[in-house]
Amino acid sequence: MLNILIAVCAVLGLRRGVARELVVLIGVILGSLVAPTGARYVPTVVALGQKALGLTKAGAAPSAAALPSGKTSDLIVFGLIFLASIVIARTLVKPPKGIASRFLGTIVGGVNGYLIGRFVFPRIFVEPETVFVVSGLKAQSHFSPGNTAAAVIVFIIVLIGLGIRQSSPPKKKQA
Amino acid sequence: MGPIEVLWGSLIVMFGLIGLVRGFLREVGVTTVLAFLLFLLTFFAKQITQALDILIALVRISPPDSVQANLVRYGVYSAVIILVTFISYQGETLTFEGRPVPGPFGIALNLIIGLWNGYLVIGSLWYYMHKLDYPIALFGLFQQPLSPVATVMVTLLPEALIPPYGFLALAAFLIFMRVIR
Repeated sequence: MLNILIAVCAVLGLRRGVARELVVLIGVILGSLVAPTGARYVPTVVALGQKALGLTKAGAAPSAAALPSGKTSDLIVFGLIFLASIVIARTLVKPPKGIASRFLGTIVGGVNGYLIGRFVFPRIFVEPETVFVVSGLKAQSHFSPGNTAAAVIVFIIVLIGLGIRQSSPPKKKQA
Repeated sequence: MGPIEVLWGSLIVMFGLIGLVRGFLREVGVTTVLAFLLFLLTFFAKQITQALDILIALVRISPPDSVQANLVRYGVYSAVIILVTFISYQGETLTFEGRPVPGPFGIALNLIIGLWNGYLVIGSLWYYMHKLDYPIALFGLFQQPLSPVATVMVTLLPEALIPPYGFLALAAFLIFMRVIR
């Protein structure tokens, strides 16, 4: 899973360029450092939000089940900082120019993927071993002839739509 | 005659080459007509079968499920498909307005739409041949059994794979795109 995450982030890095990926890298590092401290305040913020929205009765304390746990709070803070870094990178940093920027972006993207995995995975996969149960029958049911036909039709429609959009409309004759 | 899947593939490649020459905008017009035809053939399949049964009774071929009777049925189906295909390609065709898509993408698009039209036409001819238990065997043009590849390919033919409303959706989309341009 970590390899897949690194590969996906590397591909995104290729598209986004090194400058944007460096901003995201700062976000990931900052998120990793701030999250354990910032997580303490998440239950308070959530409880205040619930009160403000009138989800809890006046004077009553919010139920413990409704508040996020320590690990979830960590992930929330990390996720917010990470998202903010992506938005900042996209808004303030120019898109990549040249192969060098894209190549370095791929490397930094891969590093970002590793760091994200390093922070997120230990908080999601707590047990020494995690087993995913996949229903074979349910998986096979997704490949029914109906779904295949739908995929074929959608592919053709998208392709034709793209082609029609790409073919510039004829010039209008001037009166 | 070689394996039917080889013949089928070769004919579809021919359509692909025709698509390359004619271009995407002309080929899409053919797709519109073919999608509408296949919608009619699949949606009214029951009524068409009944009408063909009446035709078989009129020409007095017995028994009604004989190879000769199926040959007549197949003749009608193939005549309709070939006639509509000919009309959609020949003369004043339903062409979409615009300029050809430039570059490699345009070439790929021409080829794919040509191949798709070939799949619709040749695939439909094979489908009805299969449905009627290969009546061309009467002339020694076909020998059972189908190869393992052909057995799989039969399940992927247009009418076997796509429901009537799929063809209708495609035709409606194309007509809509033609109108809004």
